[in-house]
Amino acid sequence: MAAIDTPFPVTRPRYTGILEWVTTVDHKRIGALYLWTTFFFFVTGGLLALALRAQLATPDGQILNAEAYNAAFTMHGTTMIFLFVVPVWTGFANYIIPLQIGARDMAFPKLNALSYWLLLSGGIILYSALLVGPPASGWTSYVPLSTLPYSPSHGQDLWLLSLTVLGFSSIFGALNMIVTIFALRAPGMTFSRITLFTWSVLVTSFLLVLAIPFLTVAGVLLLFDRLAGLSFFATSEGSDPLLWQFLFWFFGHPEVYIMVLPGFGVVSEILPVFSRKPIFGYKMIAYSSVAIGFLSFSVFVHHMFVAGVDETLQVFFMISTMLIAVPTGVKIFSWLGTIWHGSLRFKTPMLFALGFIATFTIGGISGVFLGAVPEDVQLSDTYYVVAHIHYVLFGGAVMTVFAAMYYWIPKMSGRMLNERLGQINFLTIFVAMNLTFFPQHELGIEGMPRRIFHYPQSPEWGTLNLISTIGAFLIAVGVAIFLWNFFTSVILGKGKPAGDDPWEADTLEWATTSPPPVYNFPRIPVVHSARPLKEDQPHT
Amino acid sequence: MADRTVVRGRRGTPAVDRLAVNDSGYEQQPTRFNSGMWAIIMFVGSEIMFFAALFTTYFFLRGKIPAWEPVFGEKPTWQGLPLVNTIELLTSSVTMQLAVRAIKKGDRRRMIQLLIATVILGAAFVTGQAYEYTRLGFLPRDGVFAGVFFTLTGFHGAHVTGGVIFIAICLYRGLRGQFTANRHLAVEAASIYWHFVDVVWIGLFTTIYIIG
Repeated sequence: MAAIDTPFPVTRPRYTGILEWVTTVDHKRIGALYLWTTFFFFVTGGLLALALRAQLATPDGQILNAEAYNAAFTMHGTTMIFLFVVPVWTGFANYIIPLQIGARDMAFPKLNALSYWLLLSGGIILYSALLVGPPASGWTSYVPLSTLPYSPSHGQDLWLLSLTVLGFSSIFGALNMIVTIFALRAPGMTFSRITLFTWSVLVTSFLLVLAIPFLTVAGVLLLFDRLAGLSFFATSEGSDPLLWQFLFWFFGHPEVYIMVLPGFGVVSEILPVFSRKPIFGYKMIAYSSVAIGFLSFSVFVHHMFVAGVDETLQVFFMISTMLIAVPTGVKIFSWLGTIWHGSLRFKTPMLFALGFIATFTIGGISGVFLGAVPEDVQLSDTYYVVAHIHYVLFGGAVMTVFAAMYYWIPKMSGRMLNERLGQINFLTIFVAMNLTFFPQHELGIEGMPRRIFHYPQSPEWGTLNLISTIGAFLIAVGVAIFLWNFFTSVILGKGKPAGDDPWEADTLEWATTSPPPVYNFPRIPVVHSARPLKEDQPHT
Repeated sequence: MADRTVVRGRRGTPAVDRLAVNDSGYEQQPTRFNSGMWAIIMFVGSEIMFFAALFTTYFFLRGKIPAWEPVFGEKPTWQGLPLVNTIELLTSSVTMQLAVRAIKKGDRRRMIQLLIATVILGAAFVTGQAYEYTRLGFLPRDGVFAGVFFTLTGFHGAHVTGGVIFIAICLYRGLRGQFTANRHLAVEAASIYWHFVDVVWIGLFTTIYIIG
């Protein structure tokens, strides 16, 4: 077999320097662009959150006025959801999935590049709103608040336009991902052997392709109302604000799982590696992702219990909401089963994964509470909801983003991140996260409403808010530690060389060098099990 | 840079060499559909949800507003031009499918004739729709009904226009001598998309024009 010794032909890029990055269609470079961009937006959104928390440190803070406060929480929510959590997973998936399934690239490399540049355009459009008066109607932009009479600034139009552009970015990216997973798996890489990260990204991609059109329609109709004088949402003409909520939440609830399912996948990758055991319940974790995908389309009305929907409908959606806890519970117990009797190594990715199980379980359980109609009516639009979504999005998504960073950056850069700094990073983030968001449960139960910039003088609310603010600044310290670790270990190159497989993992991405060559693998391997690097005898 | 060099393990045998060697000549899983076919199926899936959202809007507003008619002018009826348009679009779906059948048998000449027929019928639909707009007597901003009517039929019309362009490109490529009995993905993709656009119209015609 002489052909085996011949290296894969090395392509010479047409451009060099920055043009090489602008014109790239390589899935790894596009993945890296995604990660750089989304992390930039994470820091931006985080600074906005600091401004919000600084304002709330005392009952009558003077840092932001009411308009600036509304604009800040709108931009914070929109940035974190649409420009960080959703696309950061697209970035990881872009980089890792073709490696994990043994492909040379995505199915449509140019479409992949288009998805990235649409993401960047969407971000620029959103932030250009700062020039004309920022949007200030929250990340949900409920009508009638977001209609022309109540939000006359063009910032609201740019918000809608930005979300439409970001929607196209997500749809194209997800479509590409589905086709890649369906059509480009290496020989032998069957659906019972692909990694659980691949499974979760596959389900996420289906959710994106099927749910985003509802957001697009809602946004386009509202743009028609605002710019062309149509009356889809005009109550004066007989329409009803519920229309926006139906369209928005039909997208909005699958969106929650779009943000957190890839994190489940990351944890399902990390736990077996650092427990030195195969994953417990591979099939059940994969099936439960699919079940969550289906169920996520049937729960959206629980966001609207106080908006005046029919009682029968409320009961149906209460039950379906609680039902989602079943497949989620299957996952949690499978993860615990993976750790059980394992020989654990507490490296940073493992710490973040374990921290995630704790924080996400809290967020998941408060979600079951909120799904119950009477609880929901009591707690709607209070800080309890804020606490819940942050336990899910920070405790669920951001913790796993950090886990994924520590786990895969050695593969992407060829350098290990500093382990000691990593452990300090985990401790800071974990403590700070709970410090910030746990007191908000109590504030919510006591009735503090969300989205207000002043609150009544009361010793207890003041203290709890101050604790929350201190926690938020501590999160910023944690993120700064991560950036410092990345800067010294990777940019300055002080980290230890990673080698091909620093974690002794057994999935395909660790079979190639770190960083991988443009063509990923010199030869596409044949796969005989779900753990290709642990196959004893190569079947030549 | 590191990623342009040949893979060479840092610790003796590169990990990839411990894996079984693929000398089958195939680099991928054999699948029933190729990438392009999967892509068009997923794209149409996304489009179905787009129109599902528009229909949701239609039925929601239809249920809320008792006086379901434009502020000015007449409420459009199904007789006359809309019916002619419907017949055109349904016929064009048939010609499109026959074109796919022709190229599957390798008959490029017949495919070209049928694609020409499809393009003409599709273009006639768009023209008819545009003409109907001018005769309605109301504008999109004349009340909820008018807005819904123009938005739904307008988005559909835009999709028909896109489909006509898609089929015209297939026609051009056919005239250039492309497509064989085995390689004609674009024609099949265009036909899937075209049938989808047709089905959406049947839904729109029934809900907006007939039920009203």
